[in-house]
Amino acid sequence: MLKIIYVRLLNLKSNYIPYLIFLALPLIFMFVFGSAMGNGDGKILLPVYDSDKSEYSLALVRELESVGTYNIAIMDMEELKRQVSENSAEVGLVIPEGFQKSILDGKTPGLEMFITRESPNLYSLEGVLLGSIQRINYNISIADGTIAFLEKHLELDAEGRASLKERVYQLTGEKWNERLPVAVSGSVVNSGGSEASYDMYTQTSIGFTIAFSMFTFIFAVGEILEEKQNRVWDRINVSPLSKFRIYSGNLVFACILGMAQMFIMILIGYGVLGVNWLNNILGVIMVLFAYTFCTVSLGLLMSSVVRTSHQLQVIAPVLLVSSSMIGGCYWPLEIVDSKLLLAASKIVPQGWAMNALKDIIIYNQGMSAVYLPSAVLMMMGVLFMGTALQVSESAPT
Amino acid sequence: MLIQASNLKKYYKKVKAVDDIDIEVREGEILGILGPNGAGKSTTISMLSSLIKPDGGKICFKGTDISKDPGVIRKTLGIVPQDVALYPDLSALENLKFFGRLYRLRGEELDGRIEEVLDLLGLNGRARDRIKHYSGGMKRRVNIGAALLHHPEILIMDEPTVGIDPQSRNHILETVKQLNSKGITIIYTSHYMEEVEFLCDRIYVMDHGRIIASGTKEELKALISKDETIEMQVDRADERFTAKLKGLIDVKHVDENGDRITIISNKNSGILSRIFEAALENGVNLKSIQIKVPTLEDVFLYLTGRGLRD
Repeated sequence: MLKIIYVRLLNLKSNYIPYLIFLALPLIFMFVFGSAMGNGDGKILLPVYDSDKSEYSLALVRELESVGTYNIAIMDMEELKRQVSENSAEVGLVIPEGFQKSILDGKTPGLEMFITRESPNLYSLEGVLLGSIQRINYNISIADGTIAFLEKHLELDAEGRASLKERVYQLTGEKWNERLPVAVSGSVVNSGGSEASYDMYTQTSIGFTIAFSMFTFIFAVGEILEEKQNRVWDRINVSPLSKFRIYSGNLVFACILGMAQMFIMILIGYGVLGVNWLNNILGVIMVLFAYTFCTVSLGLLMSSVVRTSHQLQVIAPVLLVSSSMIGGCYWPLEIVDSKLLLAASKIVPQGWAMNALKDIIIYNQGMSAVYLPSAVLMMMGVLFMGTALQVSESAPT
Repeated sequence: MLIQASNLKKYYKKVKAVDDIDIEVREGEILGILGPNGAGKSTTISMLSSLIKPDGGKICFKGTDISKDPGVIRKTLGIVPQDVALYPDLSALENLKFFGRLYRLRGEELDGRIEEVLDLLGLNGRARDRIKHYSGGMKRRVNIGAALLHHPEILIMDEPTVGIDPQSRNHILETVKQLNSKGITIIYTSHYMEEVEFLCDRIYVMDHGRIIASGTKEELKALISKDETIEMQVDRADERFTAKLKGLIDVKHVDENGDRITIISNKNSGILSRIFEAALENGVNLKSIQIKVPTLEDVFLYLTGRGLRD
C-alpha cells in the first residue's frame, strides 16, 4: 500500500497544478461569494436623493440610519435612477422639495420611491418610513408643546425659541432610543442550541469546502483510469501486490489529498473569515470522515463506470456541480421552497454533510445532529464501494 | 512443461474473444503467437498472466492451477504490455524503482538491478529524464526494462515493437534473443510475421479467437509445401485479368492489392506461361513477377484467405 502512495506522491510532485487550482478556486469563491451574497455587513443599500435639504429631511435620513438595516447613500437624482435601473439597489428614496414645510404646516408629507420590481424589502422600507415620519412628527409635537408650556413662564426671543426647540427635539429623540415603547425579541428554536451565528461566509466556507474537496477526491481516485488506459494498472496487478493493497493505496492517497485540502480550507475559514469550525470539533471530524469515505467510494464507482479519464473529466464536473447545488453547497437550503429540491438534497452526499455541519457550526446543535448524517454517508460509501468493485471486476480489460 | 492451458475461453457479451484454445509453453523457448489485430492474442496472454479470468478452461503453471493460486505465476512473471505502461511524468529511474519495489526489491539490490537493466537496454545516460521526453523507441526499451528487474522466469511481450523506428526495433529483437539465451522463457505476440519468424522456436497462429495452426516455422511452412507463391506487379489493376487468374487450373488463391497480385498455386504446375498468356489477352503489362520462398505470411494467407494486416 505504501508503494502505491509513494508513486502517487511522486506523480503529484510532477503534476500538482490541477490540485493547486482545486484549492485556490474555492478559496477565491469563498471570499467573493461570501461578501457578495451577504453584501458585506448584511445591510440593504438605500440610495437617497434629498431635494428638500432641510432640517427635517436630514432628520429622516438620520432616523433611517438609526434603524441599522440600511446603508444610506446620498446621491443626485440621475445616479439614484441609474443604480435602481441597473439593479444595484432594490429601491431608491426621493425626499421632495417642501417635505419640511408639509410637516410644519401639519400636512402629510409625500415621499417618492423608485423601484424596478416589488420585493419584501420595499414593504419593509414603507413601514420604516411611516414609523420614522411618525417619530419625527411626535418629536416636533412634543418640542412645540414644551416650548408653548415654557413660554407661559419665560420670555423667549426667536433665536432662543429655535435653539430650545432644537434641544427638546433632540432630547425627545434620545429618549426613544433609551427605552423603546415595545421591545421585540426573536430566538431560534432548536434542540439545545444557544445562539445561532449565521452569515454568508459560514455558508460559503462550509459549502465550498464540501463541494470542491469532492473534485479532489474524485479526480485523485480517477488516476486509476489513466493507469488502466496505459496499462500500468496491468503491470501493477501482475505483481505480487494484492488487489486489496492496490485499491487501499489509491484510496488512502485520495483521502490524504482531499483531507489536506479540507484542512487548509477549514483553517482559512476559521482564521481569516471567522467561521466557527471548532464549535464542535469531534462532530466536524466525524462528518468529514464519513463524507471522505463516501466520496472516495463514489470516485471509485465513477472510475469503474467510465472507460477513460477523458470521460471522467467530462462527466464529473457536471455531476459534482449539480449535486453540490442540490446539496446546498452554493446557497443555503433554507431559502429553497421546492419540496422536490429539498427531497433531492437527501439523496446526494453533499446534502447530508452540509446539513450536519451547519447544524453543529451554525445552529450549535450537539453530537445528536451528527450521528444520522454520518451513518447515512457511511452507508452510501459502502454501497458505492461494493458496486464499484463489482463493476471493476466484471469489466473487460 | 512450464505453462499448460487447455480449452481456454473468453467471451465479451456475444463476442468470442478466445474460443476454446490449447497452448503449451516449454521451458527456455521463445513462443510466438501470431495473428492479425483482434485475433485474440492480447486476451490470451492476459489470461496466461492471470490478469483476467477465463470463462472456461484451465491454466496450469508447473502443474499448479493459477486460477486457484495466481501468486505462483506472478512472482516469476514479467509482462511487457502493448502500450508503454509507465508513468510519463516520472523519470526512467523513478519508474524502475517503483516497479522494482513491487517485487520487494530494496536498497543496493534494487540499485544493482536497475543498473543492470539500464545497461542491457542502453539507457544509462538518460535515466533521470522524464519518460514523456523520450523517443518512442526509448520508451519501449524502458517498458521492457520494468519487466526484467525481478529476474522473471517467463517474459510475456505483447507486440513490443509497435510504432517504433527500425533501429530501435532491431535493438529490441536482439535484446529478446539475448534474454532468451540467459534462460528466460519468452511468449511473444505480434502481427509482424518477420519478427515471429526471426525470434520464435514455436508459433501459434491465431485468427478470430481460435488457433488455426501451430508448430515450428518449418512445420508451418510445410503446410504449403505443395504450393508455391507467385507475386507480380502489373501496370494497372484489371478486373478481367484477376478473374482470368482465378479461373486458371492449379490456382488456389488470388489476392489483389492495387497493382500487386499474389497467387498461391500448385507447385511445378507450369503456371507462369499461362499467367503471361492471360496478361497478353487482357492487355495487361507485367512489370515484375517472382516465385517466392514461402513465409509465415503465406501460411496465414493460405489458412485464412487474408493477409495478416488486412
